[in-house]
Formats: sequence, C-alpha cells, structure tokens
Amino acid sequence: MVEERHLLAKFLHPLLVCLVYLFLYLPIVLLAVFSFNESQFPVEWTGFSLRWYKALWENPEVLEAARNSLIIGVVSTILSVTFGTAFVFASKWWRSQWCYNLFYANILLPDIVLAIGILSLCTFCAIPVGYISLISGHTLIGLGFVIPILRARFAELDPVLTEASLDLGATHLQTFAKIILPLMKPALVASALLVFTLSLDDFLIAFFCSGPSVQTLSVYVYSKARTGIDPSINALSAIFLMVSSVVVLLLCLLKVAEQVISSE
Amino acid sequence: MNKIQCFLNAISDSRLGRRVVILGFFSILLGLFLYVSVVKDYFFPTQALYVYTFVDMFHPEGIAAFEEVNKVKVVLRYFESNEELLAKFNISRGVGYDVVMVSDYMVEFLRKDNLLQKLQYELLPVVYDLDPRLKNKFYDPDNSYSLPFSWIPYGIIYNKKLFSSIPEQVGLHILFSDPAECLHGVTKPYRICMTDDSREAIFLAGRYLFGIDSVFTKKQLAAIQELLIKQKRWVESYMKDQDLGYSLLSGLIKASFAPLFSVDKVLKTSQQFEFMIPREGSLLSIENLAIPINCKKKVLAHKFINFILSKNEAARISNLYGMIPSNKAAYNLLRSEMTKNNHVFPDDEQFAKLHLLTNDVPLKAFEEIWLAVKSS
Repeated sequence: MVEERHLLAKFLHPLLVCLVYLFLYLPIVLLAVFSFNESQFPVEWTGFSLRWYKALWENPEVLEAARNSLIIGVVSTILSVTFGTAFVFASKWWRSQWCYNLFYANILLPDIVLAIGILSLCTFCAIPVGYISLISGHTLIGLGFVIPILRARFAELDPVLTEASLDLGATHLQTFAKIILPLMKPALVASALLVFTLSLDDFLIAFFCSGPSVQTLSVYVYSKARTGIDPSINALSAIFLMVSSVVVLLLCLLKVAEQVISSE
Repeated sequence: MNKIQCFLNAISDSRLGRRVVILGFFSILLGLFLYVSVVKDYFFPTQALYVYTFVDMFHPEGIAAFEEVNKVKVVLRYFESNEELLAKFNISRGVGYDVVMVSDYMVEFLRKDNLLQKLQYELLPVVYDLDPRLKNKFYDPDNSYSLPFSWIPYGIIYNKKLFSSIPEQVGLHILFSDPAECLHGVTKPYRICMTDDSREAIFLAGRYLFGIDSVFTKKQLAAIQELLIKQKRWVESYMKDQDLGYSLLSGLIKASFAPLFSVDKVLKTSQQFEFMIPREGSLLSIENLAIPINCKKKVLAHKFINFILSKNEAARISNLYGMIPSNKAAYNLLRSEMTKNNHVFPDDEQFAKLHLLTNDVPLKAFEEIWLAVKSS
C-alpha cells in the first residue's frame, strides 16, 4: 500500500506539474510556432515561412507602436522606481501612515477610472495627450506597486548597518550608494520589472490617453481586431518573448556566477 | 539690489523658505514636463497631418506618394468602432486630428454635436466623380460635412458544402431557420455567427419575418424577440464587424452575416466560401471622410481627401482591402474577380436591396430586446 502511494507520488505529481506548465505555456508556444506559418490564419499548418517577420519589418506602424510602448515602459519604470525610492526614504521622517495608504488606493482603483480621470485633467488643463499623459498614468499606476514593495524591503533593513557606515565616516550619499542600494537591489529590480510589464500590458490608459501623437502596441492590436490580426503580431510577440527569455536567462546566469564566486 | 539680497538671505536662513523654494522648483519642473509638447510645438511646429481612421483603409504606397508630393508626414491613428470615436471626440473635441473616417450613421451624431467643420468644395474637385447613389444621404443631406470614401455591402458568407446545389441567391433562412431541420437544400446541421449589434440583428429578423426594417408594432417586436431567442440554439458566437476568418476556416461555423471587408481575406484564401446578398435585403455601410472642427491644417486636409478619393488611389485601396470605392471612375480599375460577382460588387438591382441603418429607430426598445436575447 505504501509502495503504491509512493509510486503515485512519484509519477502523478510530476505529471500534474507538467500539465500545469503545459496549460500555462501552450498558448505562448503556439503563438510563436504560428508566427512561422505560411498561412494567414492559424487554423492549419501550411508550411514554414519567415514572411510574417518580413512583413513586420516592412510595417512601420507596428514597429512605431512597439517603439512607443517600449519608450513609455522604460521612462515610466525609471520614474516610478526613482519617485518610489525617494518617497520611501523621505517617509522615514513622517509619522503618519496615510501617505502610504494613498498609494495603496492606486492598486485598488480600476484603471478605467484613472484613465478617464487623466484624460479629463489633460483636457481641462489643455495638456496635449500623448507621451506625457501616458507616462504620467503609467508612473501613477507603477507607484502603487513600487512603494509597497520597496517599503517592505526597507523596513527589513537593519538600521545598525547604516549607523555603522555613518560612524565610520561615510557621507549620507556614500551610505546610500554602497550600503542601502545594494541591499535594496532585489526589491528595486522586482518592482522595476513589475512596472515595466504593467506598462507594456496596459490597454485602458493607452486607449483613452494616447491622443494623435502616440499609439501604443496594445491599442494598435485592438484596432486591428476589426479586420483581423495578421501573424506579424505573432512574430512581434515571439521576438518580445525571445528577448525577455534571454534577459531572464542572463540574470539567472549572473546570479549563478555570483554564487560560485562567493563560495570560492 | 539690497532688498533682493535680503529676501534671498531670509529664504535660505529659514527652513520653511528652503522648502518653499524646493517645492517651487519641482512645481516648475512638473509644469515643464506636462507642457513640453506645447512648448515644442510652439517653437518647432510639426509638419504632419493626423488622420483618425479604421485600420486597413489606406494604401501604404498611396500615403507615401502623398507625403512626397506635399512634403508632409501623414500619421495614421486608429480606432476600433464609431462609438469609440464619438466618446473620444466628445471629451477631446477632436483636437489634434486633421481628417477623420466616419461611418454613415455616426456622421449625423458628430455633425449635430458640432464636431465637424464644413467642407470647402472649391478645394475638392473629385466630388463630381463620386457615385451619386452614395451622396445626399440622411446623415448629411447635402454632403456639407462629409464625403463618401467607400461602401460596403453586408451579406451572408457560407460554406458551399452546406448545400447540395449552390442556390442562385440565398435567403435569410440560413440564419433564422433551424439548421437541424435541414430545409432549403441544406445537407447537414451547422452553426452560425450572428451580428452582435442589436440594430442589425433586429433589421435582419424584421426583414425575414415581415419584409420590413423599421417602424415595428409591439406585436412584431415581440415576434422578433422570440425568433432571436430561438436562434441562439445554433449561434456559435455573436460578433460585430470582426474578422471571421478563424471561425470559418476552422469549420467552427458554416455561415455568418458579415460586412464584405471582414470576410475579404477568407474569400481570397479559400474557394470553399461564397458571399451573397440575401434576397430579402441586407445592409449597406458607407464610410466617409470629414474634417474635425478643430483642424488647423484645412487646406492640407482637403488636399488629402481629394487625393484619397481620386480614381487611381481609390481603386488601389479597394483592390487591396476589398471595400468598394465611392469614385465611380475607379470602378473600371477594380480587380476582375471583384467586379464579375454582383454580390461582392452589387449592380443596381442588388444595390436596391441594400439599406442604410438610420438613427430614428426606437433604440431603447431595441436594447431591451437585445438584452432579453442575450440573457435568455
């Protein structure tokens, strides 16, 4: 009986895990596979082709939309992390908690409310909608995620380390750069990745606040729904997937290398 | 000078003063950040024409040619539906856009909301080449605000294997009679895709049941509701103006009511499918070009409209995307597989069966019916 249970655990658990991974990644794999399909419709495999990658390369609109999404994502990530870090440090001198709670509300607030709010504000103040309104919106949403993450990490830091650094003659800036920042690095990287992903994914704010000067990838893909999304979007997604996989792989390799060096 | 020096000293000595200065500095920085594009546009005005349109409406080579001749960049921005366009224009008053593509019924809303400006016909010589059947419609009686760009017949796309012999003209029974009963030469049961627009669905049901498309009595509306609820049994999905390629080619559905442009790729890809205007009548959609009220580049916007509606450009666009141009001089330049089919390129007899949806329908009653259908 015990043997049977052991066998069940030995085979069933890995099978379950495999099925879960399959469920998670099969759509993404299919998307990448059909980017190499000759046919316009992902209904049947008609032959290997790179025509959709060529079409992507020749379509300036998709490339422009992708570029806009990346610019907005990078800028709003930098702003969110910078403001979030500054806020968490500055809040050391504040005694009340309400400032934090203001940012928690950012997560709870539906994106559509924020989007319409930003559009109304821009219209009221005659601020042209475009990069600025999108970056502002994504930074606002990003702060809602960055501040809780950084705050939790900051609270875990041992104040003795900071005091020791200052006692040993380091300036505030040196203490921040050489003691606090390295300790906060995992939280900073995690929150930056989160904000970047949120920004790249965002549809609602881009939908309302993009204006004539900018169009992001999500809005472009949505507007394509009327006449059909061609596989060049699959090709673009496959490229994004490959780039992000390489980045994650590099980060993992870097971590392994660090561990090897420290163990030596 | 001394007074200023004293004031600066007072500020730097006081903690509150320093804070006010820092706050002021950041406020100016924020202001500059928010208005940077206004400042940029003031000193370096952009030489671009912003066109707000549905996707896949202009030929990339045509746009490039216009840019080269007029030394201006054409920026295309896309919306997905007329309702999205109206919502955004009502908030932003269309600021920033120079030309806009609007479907027939929506022109009336935009015009009444004072969101469009009058066209200057002296800058639009192409207007005399436009098909008179598309002009002076209810939404813009004398075409003061909009000019037709293209027209799209709605019809039924179906898999030819559905019938033992291909009918000369299909009827709406394909959508409304129970496929399980295999009537009218249908070989086996099938599933369909139905429009997700209450007005279109009620129009079709009204045509099928009573041969009329508006001014229904309460009894007729109740019958329409009953039919649409019954139809749900063989409806695979409800879609509005969207690409049906996946569903049709995968065999998930065998027939659907759709505008020509949304099935053009399917017709080009597979010989298995046929597009027909039902004998009871169908819908017509006219896409129009107009100029938003806040457009500052009026001459350039008129030039663009004139260029896009011109014979060669209109034909080039139609041959690529499948809608029919409004310029009647372009009809001779359309691809032959399009013009030889009087359902894809309706002749006068078929054209007479096509109807525009008007805005004077009892929308509230229609929405109630649609809600009952969807929630049943």
